[in-house]
Amino acid sequence: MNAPPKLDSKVPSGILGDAWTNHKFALPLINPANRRKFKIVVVGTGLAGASAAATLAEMGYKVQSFCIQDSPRRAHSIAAQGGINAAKNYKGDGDSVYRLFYDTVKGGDYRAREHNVHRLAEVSVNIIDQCVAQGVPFAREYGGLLDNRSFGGAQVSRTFYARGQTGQQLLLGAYSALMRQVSAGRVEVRTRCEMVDVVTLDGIARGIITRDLETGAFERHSADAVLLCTGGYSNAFYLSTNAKTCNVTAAWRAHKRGAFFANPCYTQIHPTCIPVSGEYQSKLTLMSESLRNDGRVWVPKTKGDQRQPALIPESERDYYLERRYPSFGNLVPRDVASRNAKSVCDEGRGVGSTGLSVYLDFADAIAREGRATIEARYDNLFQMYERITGEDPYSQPMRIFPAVHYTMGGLWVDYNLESTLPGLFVLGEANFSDHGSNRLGASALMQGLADGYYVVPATVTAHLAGRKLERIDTNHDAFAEAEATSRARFDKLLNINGSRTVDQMHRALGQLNWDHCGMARTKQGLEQALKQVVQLREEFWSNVRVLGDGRSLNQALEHAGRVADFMEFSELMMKDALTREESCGGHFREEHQTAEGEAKRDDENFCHVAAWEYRGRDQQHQRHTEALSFENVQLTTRSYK
Amino acid sequence: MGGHNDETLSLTLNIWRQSGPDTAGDFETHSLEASPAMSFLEMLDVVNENLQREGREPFAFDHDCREGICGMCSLVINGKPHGPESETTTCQLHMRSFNDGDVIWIEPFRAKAFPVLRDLIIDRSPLDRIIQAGGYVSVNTGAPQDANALPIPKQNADLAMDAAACIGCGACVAACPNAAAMLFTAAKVSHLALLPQGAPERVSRALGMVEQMDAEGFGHCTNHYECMAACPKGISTDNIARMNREYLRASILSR
Amino acid sequence: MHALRRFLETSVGRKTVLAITGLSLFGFVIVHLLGNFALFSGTEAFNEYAQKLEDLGPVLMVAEVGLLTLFVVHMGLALSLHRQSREARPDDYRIRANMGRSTVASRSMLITGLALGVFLVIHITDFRIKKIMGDPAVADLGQAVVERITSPLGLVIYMGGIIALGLHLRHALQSAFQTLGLSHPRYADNVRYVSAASAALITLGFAAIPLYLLFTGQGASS
Ligand SMILES: Cc1cc2nc3c(=O)[nH]c(=O)nc-3n(C[C@H](O)[C@H](O)[C@H](O)COP(=O)(O)OP(=O)(O)OC[C@H]3O[C@@H](n4cnc5c(N)ncnc54)[C@H](O)[C@@H]3O)c2cc1C
Ligand code: FES
Repeated sequence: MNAPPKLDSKVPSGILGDAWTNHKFALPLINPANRRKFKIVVVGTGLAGASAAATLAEMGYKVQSFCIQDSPRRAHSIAAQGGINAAKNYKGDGDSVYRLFYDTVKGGDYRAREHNVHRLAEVSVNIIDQCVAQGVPFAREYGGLLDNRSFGGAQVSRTFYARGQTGQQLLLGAYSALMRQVSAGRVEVRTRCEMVDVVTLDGIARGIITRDLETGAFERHSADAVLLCTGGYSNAFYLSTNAKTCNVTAAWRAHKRGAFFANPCYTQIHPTCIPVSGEYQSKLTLMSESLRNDGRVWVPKTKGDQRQPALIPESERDYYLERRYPSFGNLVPRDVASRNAKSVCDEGRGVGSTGLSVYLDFADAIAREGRATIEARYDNLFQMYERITGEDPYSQPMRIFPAVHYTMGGLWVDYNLESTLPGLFVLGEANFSDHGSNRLGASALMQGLADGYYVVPATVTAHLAGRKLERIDTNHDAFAEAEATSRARFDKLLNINGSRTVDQMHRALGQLNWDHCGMARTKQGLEQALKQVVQLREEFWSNVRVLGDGRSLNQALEHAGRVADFMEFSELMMKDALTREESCGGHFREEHQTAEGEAKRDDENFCHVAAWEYRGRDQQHQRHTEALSFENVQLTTRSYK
Repeated sequence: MGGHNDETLSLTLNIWRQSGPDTAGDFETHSLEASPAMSFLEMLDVVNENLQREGREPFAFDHDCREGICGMCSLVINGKPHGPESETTTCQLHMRSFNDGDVIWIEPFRAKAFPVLRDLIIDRSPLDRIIQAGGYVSVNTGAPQDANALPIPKQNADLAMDAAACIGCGACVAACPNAAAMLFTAAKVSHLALLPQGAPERVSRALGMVEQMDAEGFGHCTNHYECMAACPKGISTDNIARMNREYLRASILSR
Repeated sequence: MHALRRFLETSVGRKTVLAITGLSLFGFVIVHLLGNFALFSGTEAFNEYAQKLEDLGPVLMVAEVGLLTLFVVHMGLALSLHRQSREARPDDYRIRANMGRSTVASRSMLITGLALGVFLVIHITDFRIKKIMGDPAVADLGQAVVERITSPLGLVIYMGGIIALGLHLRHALQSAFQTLGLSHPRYADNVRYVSAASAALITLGFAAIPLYLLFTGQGASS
């Protein structure tokens, strides 16, 4: 093996505010007439992938795009509800690019790269213009101008939204741009087609291997650059708010081919989800955080109190968030609210048949403001809740519980969004870049579109024009080897013929991650879980049962391939959690907390990105670090007391 | 029957089984004890888990977000696309909508343009091709004018959003006695016709999308309005009237 | 020409022509009904009215050819569209439930349309063709009509035709507005009521004629 590549973040020097402009100027350009000679493979059609594929095609590159769903429009981004941030300052409430930058760095608990975040805040403004020009029907005021709201505890109103379907509308905008390029013949979209490996040649990503999910056929696709826009890995926990096909496969395959994985332990757990109702539970549904503006969170004071909520007198209720955080109360940030819910349930004070939920009570709000007002604010959410649970939140408190929602970790990328595997760019939730250890509400959509519409279309030239790329054809040994490896993997899965279903194994893995690498983590728990996850993986490869064949549509086989990667990935996630001996953002180590039970960061020893290098089957991962320096934002401790 | 407490439903399920696009299919009958709190797809998950433990292949069915927005889930349940509840996708349907002892028939969406790929999974790519035929605004990524430079009356923005809420699931086609894709196509034509950004391409959009819709082999619209009743997003057939108008206008104005 | 061909090749274009021809035929039906009302004043009045039409000479010819064309086009398009839809779903559902928006009228458009076609053929051969051929049986047209529509068989056929017409119009009118894009959310309900009401009125109007004749004892002398 070559010496491991250094973690060169390629962050431009100079004043923060000019860095992106200067950097773009310094990047090489490719003559429009020459662009069609380059073929770019874009994996994923979420906000990041669809926007990148469309933009690159508009610029003249030849683009091939892939997704798992039957249409690019169905990528998981479609499910985002709340909104997208942009520093437009349309409300004149003092917002600015700098403030958005500042809030994002602080919200990320000082574990993100300043320059990346600043660029994100800068281009956020263009995103809204672009989306409106595409016909995205954002909410408007009576005067016809765009409406904004304040979201996730932000002190300015900078969130643009389209009812409760912002992700859908933004994705349909990017999708329509993509469809336009398809009809122009510049993009080929392959649906129901899963990337199963990256092909490298001379240490550069030169293509991918895919499996056609309808026919089971393996295919080779060469490329001059490969873009991974494959989303997050929340489904390592089995139960999450993510769509069922969300996976780590693409990222993990790339990781095994040389891309470092950064901060895998940073996972975000969202406090207001509909709780689990039974063993058959297949996913969790998020409800907007805005509910905490009016709802009061409580549990009974005594353990195991089985009375109906209405029968529990005021004096026997514990409004624990209001009690512990008098100034923020029910509006503490996501991680704090989630952790507290877990701890009251751990104490045995959780409610509902499973004991794994807490009340979110609107009785006071209804009494204070009237039912009509509450209806106007939340009726769609209340209806959704009732549809799922069969309980009417107007007459009894909602029950909520935290759920895994977003993953800040991802493949390590430099300022150009290029991974440590040259020629492989990573966009959207799949990279680790902009949110540090905690993402603010309405910032993921912004990041996905920033990466796809603005960043990579500019930076990809550094690779395309900067490196000498030989013509490559798919008969090359590198393709043959990668295809054979993938084929063997799937054949193996089909031939184990054990006794446990893929879903059972996935659930077991999810439980393990949730128990030991979820909201609160301990050294002991992680060490134990690390042993168990290895056993589970071994059991998977010897005892899983995948029926059917590999030559036709076989959903269990698809799932098995993804779970196999989650099994390997989870081990790394736990290792990362174990080695990060501090608490920050979504990563809470019980050993590292203040006397009041709050997260205790260790800036002296852990103000860095941990990027893990895969070194082969029987080797341990190697941990590399990229130091983070904060020149523009002061490192402070978050406090919500 | 009796003997069952409120907590479980004894169900007889007739589920469509078809091994591939070119093979004939038929119903397979299974019985199941389900919990009323399960979602319909979780109920099918349980069927599939049981089957696999017995060494039999699970039923293939499309799903992804399981919260009613991606448009991936489908199914015709007792003759109704997305089942009995109005404005509810199959993934949001819960078993408490059924009764103990029910017999449930589960079929794929049926239309020539939506061939069955396997069991309950169909090919809906024609819908993408309809969008490719004009369901976009031709604006390259770049630096368009400021988003607020062009105010849009709230009423129009709201109507556009009503139409844009389409999740592209194809239930309108499945419900239409003529297997027409008018509601799907009209929703996109309407969304863009209602906004100034869509104006420059009104003519080519209406012509292109309608022609593509026909080329895909969908039926024609006889204004039954079954599509609107089946639409999980409650999209109105007013959009079809608007598309008809757009199409007529385009035909007169086109060269 | 190209644009027109393009228009007629799409389902929406053909539906538009279907709606326009349908509305024109609807106009004819109203005129026809008003003409028939002359029977309330006796067969003479009716014959006078018929004579006035005859006196139009070539204009009547043109109108009749026009009507026939409208009819043929309407029917032809309906059949071609119907075929398109049958082909669009070769395998039907095992179980098919109504979603609750379609109506008996909307589901039976083809049948009521075909029934109207049959009725029309009978109707035209009975009167119009005979008249043109100079058949003495229809020399007193008013009387011939009265006898025909009050005879048991004639009454059944007539009433059958009228019910088919009523059902057809019940769906067709608002459907035509929808197809022509003339429905607007604000008026949509009104359009629906008006079209249902006018379908009902026309049905009653036609049905009233033989009933009136029978009740007033002017029916077929048998
Ligand atoms: C319920 C919910 C609500 C949210 N609400 C908000 C919000 O209000 N605001 C906000 O900013 N963020 C929100 N988020 C987060 C945000 O939606 C996501 O982070 C973001 O959409 C991710 O976009 P993406 O393009 O990176 O990936 P995705 O949208 O996840 O797309 C991944 C794509 O990759 C494809 N893919 C994956 N693996 C493979 C493979 N191996 N081969 C081929 N294709 C593959 C998939 O098919 C898909 O097309 C929400 C998330 C959830 C779960
Ligand atoms: S699975 Fe996404 S809408 Fe049903």
